[in-house]
Amino acid sequence: MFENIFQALFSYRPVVFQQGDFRFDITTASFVAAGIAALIMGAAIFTYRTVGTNGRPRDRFVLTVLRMAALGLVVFCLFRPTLVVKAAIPQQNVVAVLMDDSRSMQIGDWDGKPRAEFLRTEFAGNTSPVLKSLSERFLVRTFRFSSQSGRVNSVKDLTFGGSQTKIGTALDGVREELAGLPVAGIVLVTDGADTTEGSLTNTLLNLKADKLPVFTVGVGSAKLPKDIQIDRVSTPRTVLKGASLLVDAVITQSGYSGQTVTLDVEDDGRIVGSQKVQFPVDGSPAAVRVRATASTPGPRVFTFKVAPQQGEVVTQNNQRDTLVDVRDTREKILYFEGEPRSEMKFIRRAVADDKNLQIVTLQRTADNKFLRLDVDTPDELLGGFPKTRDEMFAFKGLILGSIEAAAFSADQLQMIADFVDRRGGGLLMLGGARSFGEGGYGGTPVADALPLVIDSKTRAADPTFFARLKVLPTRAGAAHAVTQIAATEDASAARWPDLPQVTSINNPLSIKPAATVLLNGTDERNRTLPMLVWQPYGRGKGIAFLPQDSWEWQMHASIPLEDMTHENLWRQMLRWLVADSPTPVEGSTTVDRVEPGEAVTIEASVVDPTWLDVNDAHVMARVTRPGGSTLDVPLQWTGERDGQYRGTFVSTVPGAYEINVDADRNGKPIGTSSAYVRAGAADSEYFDPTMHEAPLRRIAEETGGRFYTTANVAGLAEDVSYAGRGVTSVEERELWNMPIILIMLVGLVCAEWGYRRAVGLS
Amino acid sequence: MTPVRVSYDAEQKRPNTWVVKLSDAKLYDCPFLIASDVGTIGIKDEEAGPLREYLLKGGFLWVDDFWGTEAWNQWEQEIAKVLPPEQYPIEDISAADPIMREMFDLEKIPQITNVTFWLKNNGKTSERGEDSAQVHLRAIRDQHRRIMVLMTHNTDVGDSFEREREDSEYSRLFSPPGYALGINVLLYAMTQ
Repeated sequence: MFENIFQALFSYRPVVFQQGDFRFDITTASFVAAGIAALIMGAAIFTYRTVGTNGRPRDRFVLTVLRMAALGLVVFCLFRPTLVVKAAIPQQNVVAVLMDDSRSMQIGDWDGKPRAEFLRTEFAGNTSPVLKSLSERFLVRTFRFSSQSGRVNSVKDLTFGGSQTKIGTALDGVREELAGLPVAGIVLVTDGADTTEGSLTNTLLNLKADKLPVFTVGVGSAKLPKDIQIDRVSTPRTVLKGASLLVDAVITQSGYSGQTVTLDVEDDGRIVGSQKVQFPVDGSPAAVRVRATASTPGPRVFTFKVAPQQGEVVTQNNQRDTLVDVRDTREKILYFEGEPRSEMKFIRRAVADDKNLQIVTLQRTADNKFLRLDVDTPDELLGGFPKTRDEMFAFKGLILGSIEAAAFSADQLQMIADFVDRRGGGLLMLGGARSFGEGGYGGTPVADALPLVIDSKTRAADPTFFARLKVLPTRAGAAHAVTQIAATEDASAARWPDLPQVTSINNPLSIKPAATVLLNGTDERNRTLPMLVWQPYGRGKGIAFLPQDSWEWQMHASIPLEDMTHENLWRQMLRWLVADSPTPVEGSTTVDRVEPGEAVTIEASVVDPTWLDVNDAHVMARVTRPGGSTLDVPLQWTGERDGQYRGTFVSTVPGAYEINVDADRNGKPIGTSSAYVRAGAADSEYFDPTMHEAPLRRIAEETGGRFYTTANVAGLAEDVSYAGRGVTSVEERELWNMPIILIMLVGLVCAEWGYRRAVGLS
Repeated sequence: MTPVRVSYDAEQKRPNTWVVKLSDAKLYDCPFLIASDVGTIGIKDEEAGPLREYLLKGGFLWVDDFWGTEAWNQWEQEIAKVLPPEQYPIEDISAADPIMREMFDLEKIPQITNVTFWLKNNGKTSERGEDSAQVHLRAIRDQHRRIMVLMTHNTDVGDSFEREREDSEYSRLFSPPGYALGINVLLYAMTQ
């Protein structure tokens, strides 16, 4: 609308004024005419100064100004104002039209019709308005682009089935293809929803260097009237079988404010979790925490979905898939207890049915005498607590019960700290008469790994503290998987206050800055003490659990026999303890989904049993394709980081690819690891499906082009003509005959006449 | 003899003991129970339920010092009210059982009599003559095969700890095997 009015008033489109150089085409006649005009102006001033004495000075001043403005406008025209523009010579230049061929172009938000319909209407052939006007001026070459780009003859060749939109790649490709040709500009017709994570900066720099303006046409609406989108779900890439996942999801919506919907989690079509969510006001994301159980081992696709609601424009973004490797492994945890006590017995019983946890227990029975339980071999831990790093690092988690620091050598204490820091293991210290400060850990390397501050001057001593505490989750704890002791989050929150009191005999310690308190205890004097605290330490984590008798949550008279609170807590605690603990060989892919035919990059980190990086290992990845055929991919040390290896293969058919990474050194096996990657059409096209104006504006502005919507695209061809690129000729555009000049002149004369009438001077 | 901290009565100069009734909620605060002379026990209906729940939750009961067939029958009849034998049968414990190896390797269960009987009867150990000549180590297990109730029949293992000071020869003969079994049982009860 604005541009039409502008062109009606000024004869030319705004781009002509932007690109053109303004100048006066002055001749001798112009000076003569200007002189006459000056005389008339002088006479007019004189007349107004002497005319009728009844006129007020202000009236005379206004009338003089109006008269002078009218005469000034005439003088302006007499000097022949002109715009000098460079216009593309017709049919001498190429214009590339890039058309978005991705699936998001099927979204029906262009006047209720699919976005693709705009392309079919405006760019289909010689009868299509935009393409026709381009063809009249330029040699038009049409291209399609989505995940790949290429030449097409017409819009009819487009399928609108591309699963990705790669604008940068498409622009780079066209720039290279048109190199050496006189190009007036590139027309990019898209919804702007780029699905790649790459930056456009290099693409734009190259376009600017080649002086190629890009004229972008944004198709679609900037806001969908009714839409629900699962924005983000955070799931770990690997979990232990049977793990209870607490997944944070973010849902955005428009048009459904206040409505309650259900977020379901499906594992291969089977609902494994569900959570209701009430939407806030439009535009505000809703954060949802949903619990799901990973009960089936192997690569599992978890689908998070909200059922399509009435009136939704895009329903494909109501669900989001994530690939989770559910591992049916048995994670080994060493539990070292200094004295027989019920806490150990009940922790062992709590996880006895968990086939994915192996609690190897070392119970000190006398000085240098140990009872070993659940060891793998008769010799394991025969000499007590591990004395070498490879023996210690074979475990993924370590529980220290009521065992004093003096029970360890200095090297063993350092080894425990290294176990957390370097190996990435989990350390859990339990409350007891010989743990924390009472156990003399102050000043030891183990104290560094713990989330509580133990004064280095603290010496081992008998407990002097006693508190009977009611334990409740903190705000951070309520959102943590480890505190979920009942079937649902609400049930869990309701269960904690009902649990019986427990006791703590360790002097309260302050929390380290990086630590997070998950459970707090309140004693009978209303003091609040941390009961479950953790902190990341190096590659691993340190956890402090202060109650000495959590077995009360199993045995207490108020706890029903069938209650699973104690089992749930310890099962989750110990799974969390080892959750991120790596193996000597860790294989992964840089992305968990690729397009069929796209390359997959495999990375592996390799360490020896003492967790030192290995750069001279022989690392091989065996890729099992969906059909069962295999491919061996050698991985080479990258040289970028110690212990890091990399290799690539190209996916062929859609489906899940299993990747088993084997590493050995001098013929001696180091370890194996598995990873999965999916090849298939991504659904990213339907996420953030609105027309993205900002990046399209940026492309246009940085390259010297212009951004259009479907409403103002009619002037595109003319704008490209005056972009000043390609083979051009210099043209002069006279401005004196613009309608705006006449309108202003008439307006000034009428204003003068009207004013005089109003003040009685006529 | 042990670095384990034991609740101690300084005035009486002996470890604290805590006697609880089977119907008392405090029963659940004691994960390890010892019952003596259970040959005369009578378990009421209102006691049977809590004791069953206690045992199934993870509690451990060691019954000791009951002698002869009559005492066994009485115990067997009473414990059946708590743990029905068709679901929780009483089993003999073999020498290969982990409880025999927890800390000390035990080949057999010693017959330990009370020191007074031993002194009066010239070193005899069977308090009911032929009827109690054979020592039995038996158990009732849970569904995971963990021992819930341990029975030392025709022996009084507790006397090997309680009365070791009364006679040095008695102590020399009975305390070492008594302690060995006691420690094994305690370790088993606090680890399994």
